[in-house]
Amino acid sequence: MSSRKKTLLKVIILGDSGVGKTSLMQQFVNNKFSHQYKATIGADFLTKEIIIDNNKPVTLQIWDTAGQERFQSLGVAFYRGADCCVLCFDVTNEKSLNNLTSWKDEFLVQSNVSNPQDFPFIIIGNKIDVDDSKKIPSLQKKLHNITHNQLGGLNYPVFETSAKDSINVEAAFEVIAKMALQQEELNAASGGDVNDDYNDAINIHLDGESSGCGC
Amino acid sequence: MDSDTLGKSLYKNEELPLNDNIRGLKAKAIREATQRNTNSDEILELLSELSRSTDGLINNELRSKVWPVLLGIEDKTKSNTSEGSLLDTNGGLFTNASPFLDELNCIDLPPHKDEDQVKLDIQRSFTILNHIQSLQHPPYFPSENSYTTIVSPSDVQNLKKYLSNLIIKLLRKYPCLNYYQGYHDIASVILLVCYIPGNDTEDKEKTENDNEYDINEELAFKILEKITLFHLRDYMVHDIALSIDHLRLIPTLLENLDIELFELIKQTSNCYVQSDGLYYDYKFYQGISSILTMFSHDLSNLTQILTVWDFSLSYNSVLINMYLYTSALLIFKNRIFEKCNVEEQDREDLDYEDIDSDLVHNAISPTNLFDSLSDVDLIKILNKTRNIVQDFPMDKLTNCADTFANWFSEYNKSSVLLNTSNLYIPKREKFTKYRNLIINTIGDDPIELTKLVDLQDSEISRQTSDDLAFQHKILLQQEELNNSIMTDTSAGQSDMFASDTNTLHTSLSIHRITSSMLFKKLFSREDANEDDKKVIRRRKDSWVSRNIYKISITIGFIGILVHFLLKNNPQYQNLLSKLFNGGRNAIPIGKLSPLVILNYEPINTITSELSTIGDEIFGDIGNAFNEMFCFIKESEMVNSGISIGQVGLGNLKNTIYGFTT
Ligand SMILES: Nc1nc2c(ncn2[C@@H]2O[C@H](COP(=O)(O)OP(=O)(O)O)[C@@H](O)[C@H]2O)c(=O)[nH]1
Ligand SMILES: [Mg+2]
Repeated sequence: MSSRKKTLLKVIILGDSGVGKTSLMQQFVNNKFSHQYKATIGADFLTKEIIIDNNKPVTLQIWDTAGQERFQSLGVAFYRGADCCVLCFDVTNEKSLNNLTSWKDEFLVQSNVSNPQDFPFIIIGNKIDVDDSKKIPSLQKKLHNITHNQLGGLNYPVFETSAKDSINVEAAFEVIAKMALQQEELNAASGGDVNDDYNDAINIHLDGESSGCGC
Repeated sequence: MDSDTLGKSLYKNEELPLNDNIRGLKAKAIREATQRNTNSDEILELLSELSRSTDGLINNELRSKVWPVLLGIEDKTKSNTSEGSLLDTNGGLFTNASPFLDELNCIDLPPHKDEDQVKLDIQRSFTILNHIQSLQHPPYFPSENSYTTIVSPSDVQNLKKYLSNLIIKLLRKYPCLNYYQGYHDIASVILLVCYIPGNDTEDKEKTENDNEYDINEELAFKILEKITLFHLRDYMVHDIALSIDHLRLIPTLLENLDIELFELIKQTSNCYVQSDGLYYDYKFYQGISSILTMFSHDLSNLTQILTVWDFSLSYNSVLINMYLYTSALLIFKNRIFEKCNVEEQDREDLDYEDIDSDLVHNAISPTNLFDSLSDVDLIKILNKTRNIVQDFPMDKLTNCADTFANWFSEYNKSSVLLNTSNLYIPKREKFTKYRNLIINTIGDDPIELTKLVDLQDSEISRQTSDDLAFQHKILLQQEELNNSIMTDTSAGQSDMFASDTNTLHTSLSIHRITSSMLFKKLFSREDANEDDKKVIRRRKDSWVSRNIYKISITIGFIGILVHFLLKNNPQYQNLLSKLFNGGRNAIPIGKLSPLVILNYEPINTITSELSTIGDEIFGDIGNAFNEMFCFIKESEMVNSGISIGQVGLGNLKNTIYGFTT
């Protein structure tokens, strides 16, 4: 139903200060990396058009946010209408990994998404280019614990990236785009345009699996 | 030539940068003024006027002399000899011989809680210096401004060390202040102005010794200290809501100055949309980086930043920055509407629902306004600012009672805007009246400041809790309004609703029920003509969302508690038990128990039950909040990252998820 309109997907990037959110966004949108990005204050977005599923053009609107805790309450103003949320950590900084859960909670608390239980999140561990000796010890195990914890586990797809060396950034955003598109379609079905297929819409909604990404 | 007339005749309302010749004359006039008695009001006013006229203070040597005067910085070495000039020609302000340098590393003081964040931001500082080389075009960079040629990568590394010292030292000296991202931009501008160009750059690069690097650190610290305590203090209390109060003044001004821009911003704002047009909170988040950094984060040209600072400091009030941002919005009005895809002829009778609020966000953000700002545009903005600050003082604004007077005179009486950074009281009065905020010896207890910041924290928390109660009232209004719409337009909906709900699995969360297609199904069975139908549907859609909204706000207070629980800190649990069990204003837990039925009851029952509960709870909520705040203060949680104020509308609205997960 939305194929005639240009599809705009809103993506929010969250995570502790310094994990590389701005760098990831810049790498993806402008294909460049600089050690000179300013610290982010408030929130702003960049857009990029990409083609997913071979022929579907979508516009990704990527929101970069401030990482410092005192700016968190501002999210209220920016998260509305998000289609996907990217939770970032720094593979050399264990605290940033442990904070993923609270970033997720904070997002759900502030964003007013319609399906908090199956809203699409994705996890990015950035800076894999750095020397192994500096990385979080037994990262995979810790990551596994966090993503498979039954209580409030973050059972989401994980990408390990380097914004610096442009490793896995494209791939991550492609998945982000796909997940966001599903969410957007779900929203379009239950929100905006009402057509006659009530029952279909109800099914989609109640099944609730439709936004799972099979990961 | 008399410098008074020079200031007036040459610089007023010029829309072009000055040529070299006039710049030279102006520099001379400024220099002469600094050599006269800077303690006199006449000279202070003259220097202020020179600072805010075209091209400001021309170069950094003059800035490093005039800024301290504009800020009312006392030269302790000369405080007893008030006769004569503060800024002596020989030796200048503050000699390097003071014991000050020894304190510089301030390792003896306990670290400040925000030092980790400072480190992260220092790494990302001085990005501005990359631009400098490319900006060296005459006549804007005449040869006298040799500062801008200093930057090599090793210089930048050195500057970062100074920057770190400067910020850490200030934070350790005044531990009650909270560092914010952007404060490092403030400090780096000051540091650059206090850079003293050496004669022999070759030599300096070889020298590893920091002390021989020519930065007047003592002066930099004094300037930073004064700006921080007198002007940026509101941004460094615990709760960011006070910074947001400053930003609210931007739409406040617009409402008086340009109704089209104001309506565009208002009607596409989150708050206005969510409350279905019943309430606009004036919260102008977009300007935050500009206001917190005095534009240094958002202008990419150092000379422009310095010119803006000359201008801003000459008013001795951060209020001027709100006027400045407003002016920028006014100057770029056409561009803003273009970016939002609004044709000029459509502006008057706009259907704001058709406008993409994200586009508006972008259009009114600093990136759009200030990135690659031309010098000519900057001059226009500053001239406009001069005019509106004169013609539209806060107390003359038509909306003053509901805005400035309410947020500041009523709630935040200790805000910088009403004392140390008050635009409307004489500079000299401020300088002397509040001088005790600054302590002389590092390591002493900054009692005055700590008390003031504490007071400010309690003021803003009172505002936050009252805001909450107010929002609840708005929601009740929405409820009433929409109930009447509902009875008008869809008789019998509750029957249909009930039968449909029965088919739902009872374990479905409340949120799913409300957002399900059931409502759509009900509402679209309308035999109205097409136009009406659209309107009705929209109303009904919003009825749905409003009810979600209503429920969640109503239980918002409980939401806060859940929010704290989520944070998983034992202290919060203390807090909860205190709230429910102890204290005069404790909330009777019995009233909350009906909430457990949330998952099983049809939505309309829930709504009414919740609003009943809500009414009772909210009767006490202000008191409960105050008590909670006191408790938080007592337990010194304020510094451990919890903030009542941070639990804003959105948090409340959505903490309902606490019940669904
Ligand atoms: N080695 C390495 N450093 C990175 C990478 N991404 C970002 N950084 C650095 O990490 C710091 C913080 O990056 P930034 O994007 O500003 O983080 P943000 O606060 O999350 O936006 C900067 O110094 C970056 O240069 C990466 O992939 N590898
Ligand atoms: Mg960033």
